[in-house]
Amino acid sequence: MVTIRLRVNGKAREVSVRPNETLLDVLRERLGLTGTKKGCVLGDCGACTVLLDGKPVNSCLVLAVDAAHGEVLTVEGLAENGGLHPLQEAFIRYGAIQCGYCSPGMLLSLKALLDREPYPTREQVMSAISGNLCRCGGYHKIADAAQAASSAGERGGDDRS
Amino acid sequence: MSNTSVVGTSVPRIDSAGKATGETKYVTDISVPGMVHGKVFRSTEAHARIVRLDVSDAERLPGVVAVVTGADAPYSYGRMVEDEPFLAREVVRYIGEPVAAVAAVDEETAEAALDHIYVEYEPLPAVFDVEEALSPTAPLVHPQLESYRKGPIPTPVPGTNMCSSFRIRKGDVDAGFARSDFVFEHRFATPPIQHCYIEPCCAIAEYDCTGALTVWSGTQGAHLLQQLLSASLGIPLYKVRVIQPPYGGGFGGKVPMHVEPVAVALALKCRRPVRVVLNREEEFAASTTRHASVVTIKSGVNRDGRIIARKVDAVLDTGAYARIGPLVLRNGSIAASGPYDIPNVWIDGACVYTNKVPAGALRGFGTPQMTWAYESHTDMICRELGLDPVEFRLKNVLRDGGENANGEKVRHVAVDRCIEAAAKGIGWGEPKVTTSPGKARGRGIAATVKACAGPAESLVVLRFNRNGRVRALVSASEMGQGLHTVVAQIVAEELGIHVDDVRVTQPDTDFTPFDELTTASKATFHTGNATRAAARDLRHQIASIVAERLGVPQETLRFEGGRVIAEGLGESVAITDVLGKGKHRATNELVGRGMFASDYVIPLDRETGQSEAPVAFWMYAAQSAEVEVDLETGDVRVLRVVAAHDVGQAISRLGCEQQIQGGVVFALGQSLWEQTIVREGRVVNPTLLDYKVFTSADTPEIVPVIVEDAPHSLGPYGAKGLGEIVTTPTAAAVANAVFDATGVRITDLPLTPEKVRAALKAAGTKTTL
Ligand code: FES
Ligand code: FES
Repeated sequence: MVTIRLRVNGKAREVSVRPNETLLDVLRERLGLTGTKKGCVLGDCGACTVLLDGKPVNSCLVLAVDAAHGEVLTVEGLAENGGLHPLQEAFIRYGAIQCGYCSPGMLLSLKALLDREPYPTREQVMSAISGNLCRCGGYHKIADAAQAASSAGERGGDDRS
Repeated sequence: MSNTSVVGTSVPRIDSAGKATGETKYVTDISVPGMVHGKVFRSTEAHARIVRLDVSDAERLPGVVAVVTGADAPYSYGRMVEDEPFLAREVVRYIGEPVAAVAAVDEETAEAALDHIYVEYEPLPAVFDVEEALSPTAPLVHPQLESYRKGPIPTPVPGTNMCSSFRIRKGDVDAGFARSDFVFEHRFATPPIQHCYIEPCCAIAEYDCTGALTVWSGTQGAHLLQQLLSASLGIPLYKVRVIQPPYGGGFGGKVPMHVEPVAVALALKCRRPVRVVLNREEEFAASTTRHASVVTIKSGVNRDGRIIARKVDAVLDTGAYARIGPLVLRNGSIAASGPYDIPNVWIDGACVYTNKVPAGALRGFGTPQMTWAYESHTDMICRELGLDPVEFRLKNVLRDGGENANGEKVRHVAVDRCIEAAAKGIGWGEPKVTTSPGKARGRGIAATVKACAGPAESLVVLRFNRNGRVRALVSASEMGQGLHTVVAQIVAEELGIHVDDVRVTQPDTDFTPFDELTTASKATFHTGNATRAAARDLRHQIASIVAERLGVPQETLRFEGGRVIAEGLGESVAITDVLGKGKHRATNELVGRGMFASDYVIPLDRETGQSEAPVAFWMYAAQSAEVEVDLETGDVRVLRVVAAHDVGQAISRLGCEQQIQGGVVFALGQSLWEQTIVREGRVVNPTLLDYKVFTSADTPEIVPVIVEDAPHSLGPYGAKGLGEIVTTPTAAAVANAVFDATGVRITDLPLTPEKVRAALKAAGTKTTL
């Protein structure tokens, strides 16, 4: 076992992990953060997407020891100041969620996009989530939500147009 | 459209907040105190006798709690045919079949222990091809077929690999062909495919000291699972409790059962809760596929463009065990002649055992395979005769009062309107946009019909509390399709309250009332009706309290905006003030009960498949597609899909759009590249990367058209179902568009670039000759 320190959703954490343990397992099993989902463990589905130092990663492919000293953001840390993140609001409002198993990963991929590109085009949105599989939905409602969330900040509204 | 205020609108889904925040605990997020982890040791042989099985080394490993084999759990299961052992006994019948299982303190230890199990097989001749399996000399997958318990639907033939058959005989098909001006015959095929729900199958099983069993499972049928476990284990129903937490998609793949038996066998042995989660490779190689199909279809058509006779011969590959195959066969074959009014119909369906991964329900219950065949065939007829595919369909399509293949006079049909909307939406008949050299564009259309077979029964209980809020106890399964929101909308509609004032409980057979399983797009219709009945029961009870309080007749009360209003009197009572006051009445809670059974279904005649009321209800749709084909590479790009669906009445407009867009994307993957490749019984592409489902980058524009012209007289507010039929016409619409663009016809799915390129080459060669 190795002890590592990292920040998860803004809080400093210290965890003992096996050297071969993934960040995904540490989040889910050791820290009880089950919002990050496990769909394939091979890097193929994106359900396990979290932000590591602001960048989206498949947490099933990241060894926990490699995330040491990193800053991790999971879906549980998205809501800010007691309110939902605009992306979460928009996901609910625009019907981006069906079974919802892909949603945490989608949300984090899109958060990374909006952080670097506050007004993304449709193509940029679709490409940002191209590593996140959704088997229930048609991706368009997710893109609608992302675009609504991107404009929500500026106009204080959530008009889709 | 019905006169409603909540039903028919778009409301945010009531289950989305928990899913957006990560709070919702899915089945794979659950852990039970004392829980250990199970892993499965699977067969590497397609058909073999187990000569020696030694688990003693594995048992001795530190951290291993129990190892089970078929000898420890000598039970079998199967809703149709009880042909499947919990763990293989004596014989294995497919690569991936559970042979033994390990429970250990963690998954890693369990996984490692699998390497310490030793098995010796004596190979038996195996059969992988359905047509071969039907030959008299084929090796038998189940020589003991006769001895199995079976339900009323399957018709297995002992001494063969025939698991079940189905037939329709209407009119005189041979005379019809003889009278026809033209006769066409074509053959189509589809490969096995995977559900690819993003959350894998998971079950946790736990026994208590009285021998009562609790199972947590992401199952589409909590009550069915309870029944099956009770029957298999020989313990009474009340000693089996199934709890169904939220789960990440089902699409038919989580219809009971295949992961639960291993968890139960382990729990029985180690007397601790055991969790089994499949990994992605197991999902591909050892869970359930969609039936591969071979469909031959022959039609007699007259010069005036009327179909006079149609004969369909459909063979489905059900793999090593029946699972729900006989039902898939029946529900798919029942409409295998399409949404057309044809006087002479002959349908023969067969569901055949082979030594492959078992097949089961997959979003469409056999209908996607049949629609692929008859809508490609229909297009081929039109192209040969130079008829317009839209006009030809409109000429033959079923309309109110028409007669389907079962001899039923159909009602509430708007498939003609769907065809018109799909054609208009895609710009049918308009000149095609010219594209870059080396590419060609085309448009295609396909229509479809799907049964919700029934009879089925749904019960709903509503608890109305003193705050005027409602808790709905429902056992139909929310798997992402939006059922819970539909339930909340119906309750809100009937009681004049807000959707947010309704909560829906996850299924738990100890508490939520009977609803066997959620498949075949039946829940909005059945559970929706039961919900409406329960809400009306509640409304009646509330009204009687308010009527007494205000001294007015019950009938004069209106439920609106959270109040019970006495018309004319100018008085009203807030719904939140109904309880908590009276002396002789309930003051804390009212319980509303509702039931709906599609018991008007008249079983089909076994010989002819005829019935005046063959199914609970029918669904209809048409989709059109525009594609661009790269003439060099054979790559097909879908540019646009218009999907027109006859839903009767939308309950949630947003929900319908979700289902339509999601279903089309689901089906586009199956049209263009999805296939489980099986070689000598072994799945060779068992990862999402190799299998490849549609991503956002592949997704075209999808235009949903919700057709509400033909409300169903028995559906809640006129609603029918939607979830499955969305996936059934897409592949044919795309293939027909590819033909329109290039003149090449692919008859076996998927439309891979290799196949299209080869066909283009072949066609090119022909023209230059
Ligand atoms: S679980 Fe990590 S990509 Fe699928
Ligand atoms: S909502 Fe189910 S996988 Fe995306």
